[in-house]
Amino acid sequence: MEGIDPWWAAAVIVGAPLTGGVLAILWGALGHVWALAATAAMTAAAVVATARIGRHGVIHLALGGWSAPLGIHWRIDGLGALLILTTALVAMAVAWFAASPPRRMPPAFWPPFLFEVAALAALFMSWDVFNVYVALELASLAAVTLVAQGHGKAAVAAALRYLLVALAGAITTLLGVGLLYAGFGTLDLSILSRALAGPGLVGWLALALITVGLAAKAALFPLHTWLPAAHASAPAPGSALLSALVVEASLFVLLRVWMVGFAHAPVPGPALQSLGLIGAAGIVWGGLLAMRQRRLKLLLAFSTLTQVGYVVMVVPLSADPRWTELAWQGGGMVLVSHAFAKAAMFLGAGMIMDAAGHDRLENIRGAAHAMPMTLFAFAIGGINLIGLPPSGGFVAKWLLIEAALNGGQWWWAVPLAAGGLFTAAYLFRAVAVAFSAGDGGALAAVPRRQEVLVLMLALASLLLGLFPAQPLSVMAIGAPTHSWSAEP
Amino acid sequence: MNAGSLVDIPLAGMMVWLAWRAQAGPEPIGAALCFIVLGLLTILAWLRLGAPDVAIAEAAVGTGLTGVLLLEALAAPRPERPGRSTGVPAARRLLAVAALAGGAVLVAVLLRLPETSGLHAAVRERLPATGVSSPVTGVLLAFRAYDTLLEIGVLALAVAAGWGLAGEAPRPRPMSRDPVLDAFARRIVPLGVLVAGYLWWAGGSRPGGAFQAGTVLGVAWVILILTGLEEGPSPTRWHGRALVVGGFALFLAIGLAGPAMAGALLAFPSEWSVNLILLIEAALTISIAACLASLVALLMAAGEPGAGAGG
Amino acid sequence: MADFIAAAFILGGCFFFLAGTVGLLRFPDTLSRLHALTKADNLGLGLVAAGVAVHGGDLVIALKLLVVWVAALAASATVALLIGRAMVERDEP
Repeated sequence: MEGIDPWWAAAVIVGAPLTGGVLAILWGALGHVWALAATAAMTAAAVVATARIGRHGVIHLALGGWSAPLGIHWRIDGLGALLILTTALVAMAVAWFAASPPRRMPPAFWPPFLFEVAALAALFMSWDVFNVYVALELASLAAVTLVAQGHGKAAVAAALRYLLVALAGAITTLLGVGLLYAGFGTLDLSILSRALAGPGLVGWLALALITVGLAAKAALFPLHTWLPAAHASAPAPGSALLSALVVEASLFVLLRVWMVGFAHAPVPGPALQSLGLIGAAGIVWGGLLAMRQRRLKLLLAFSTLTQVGYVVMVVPLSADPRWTELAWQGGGMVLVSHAFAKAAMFLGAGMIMDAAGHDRLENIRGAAHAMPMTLFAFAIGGINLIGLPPSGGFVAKWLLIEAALNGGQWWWAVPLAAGGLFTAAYLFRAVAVAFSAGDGGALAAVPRRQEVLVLMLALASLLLGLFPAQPLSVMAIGAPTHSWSAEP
Repeated sequence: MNAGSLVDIPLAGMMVWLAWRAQAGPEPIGAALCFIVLGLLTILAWLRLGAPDVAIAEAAVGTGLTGVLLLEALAAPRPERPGRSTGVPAARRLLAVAALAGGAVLVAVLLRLPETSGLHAAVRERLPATGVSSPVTGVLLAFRAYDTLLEIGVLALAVAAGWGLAGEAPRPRPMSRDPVLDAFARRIVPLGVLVAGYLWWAGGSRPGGAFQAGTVLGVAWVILILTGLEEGPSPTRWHGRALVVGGFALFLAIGLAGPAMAGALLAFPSEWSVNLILLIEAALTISIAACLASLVALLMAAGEPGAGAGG
Repeated sequence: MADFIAAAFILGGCFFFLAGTVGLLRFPDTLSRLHALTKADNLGLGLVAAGVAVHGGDLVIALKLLVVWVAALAASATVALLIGRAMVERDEP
């Protein structure tokens, strides 16, 4: 592995899903074959890249050989590499799930699926703010298409609403990016970071615009209203990808803009605190609304709002530079473990829907007797979302709360801890219904392959909690450092 | 106040007024027409700003094709939606105030911007290495080729998504065949193809390139669809799909060969650079035209009674 | 001298455009509005193109402008015919 040119790993990471997408348009009937091959190649490349980063540190590549500020740079840091690996693994599992007969997804599913995976990988590597915008466009279009492929007019309506929000977010982000270029003459994050030491009105306005634009795409409170219908309307494999990864990519970009782009700017404390407030509101509001849902997929969609809230907390919790790395690792752990857990849970919910013909909570009584493996996996995913040991979610929550307490911001520990209670309340209700005595025999049989895949995804999120040391040390490689003058 | 301002200030004022009219009127047809005229003025604005490349693209896409799409959408039968008012005045007024305030802040910031030349100097310095002499083409196909690749991906995916959602859509309804219209199309389309070819070739050294050429070619194709002389690229036929995705596929393939050929993704060996760029642009021209023609055909099919959920 | 001729042509063209626009706004029915638009604007465009050609002073540019003008003539004639026929078919005045 030592001798491998990092270009090969990086080229395969983005090139494989793009090539798969082209083949899926040309030979749609074989879409699942292209998807499996592309995600497998991507996984291998992500392993190579991650191993290399573990040994030699951050990978830095200039596309086309044109160095910044003229060209576009890729920079794969530890967390970026882990998120790419996560994307590849989750996408491979989702592709395998979606390829399972008798409910194999139709040919139209595979092009947006593969383009989505490529766009996500591109977002996790990009070190150029305009390129981030372009990749977000690709990700949004693919996501909207996946939503629209759900059943009935409700799915089309949800997709249209999502499209409008995504477009509004894109225009706002683009305006911010344009201001950055007009003001500082560059789009490269490293160069911008130095120039933004004195951001002036242009810099602050750009930050505000980009934050609002990305917040709409990442469904941050109060711009979250499109998410539940969209994520619940998509077919299960689409929902899994959307809720596990698509939202996270916008969040990751948001973290990068604040913590890398504006690392040397005198970011005022109130700005950090208000971002924390947005996160806390998302945690509480998402939890409250999830409790009121009577459909499994909607419940899961609302729970994503809570997880999104945790990740935004990374920014205010990083206020004290001594605890930035801890907060970054905590946020990274939320992203990675939530991706596996939520993918498992949405796929599991999809199986319950296939078996029962619906996903109304009151009518899935006894589902655990008919499909024990799936419900077991669902419960493991739940442990992760709640943040109970020994899951990755627990480690993540622990790190975030530690960063809050060490950094003298105890008040943020309250929503971080309370979020787990909300999540426990509604997930316990769902799982209790499924495990209660009832007529599980009314459920149709589900493919064994799908059950195993869902269980493996759920176990991955558990393994992160059992063996957190290595992923956490990788996440620390290339973690941002800042010199905000802000005091909490 | 110079002579230019005499043109620019009324132009800017009219653009703002048209933008307002395009969303304030109750009638969709009036709004669409205002939007099309706004597009025409936008072409002038780009020319005044010294961006002829953007002006050509705006003329073909922003005004030509968007106009066709808007009018086609208006011609489609719309479901009656009784009991729903056409607008919420209070919310709209609030939005207008917010937009004005945001615009005012933006203008204030823009006026205070320092005079920077951006990356002009860097582009000029490195342009010879690309083999092309048009800076816009250099940026699109060399310095920021990766952005362009992803954008072409967006276009191809949009068509694939439309095909997937339309399902077994009925064929687009041609206008009733008309001898005069036929005669017009048979003469103007070859001219369009000629212009597209010229724009593609010109892109290497002056305003032009794949986007402009592709949109002109696409508009020519749309004329053929509208007159019923030709159909759009067919999703059910292999060559239809290949036309739409071919440009992206070729660009991607050449880009992926970069690490082996020139040491970086999307890098071209210097002696082949200009030829590879022209080859990619040729493929992109055809694919962009095919994508735009497909989108129009999809919309026309969606307007048919009994069409699927492709609307 | 060339500039003077060019300006005269362009001003003449603008006059016809103005006349066409006034006709569009003031004429009572679709067919006569169409008449004002196609006749006056085609002439206006031709004069402006001629003026620009004189100003450019280059045969290639002049030929390009001629092609533009002919294409616009063809398009406007076709469109006018289509609109007119649609009016007649719908029996609108």
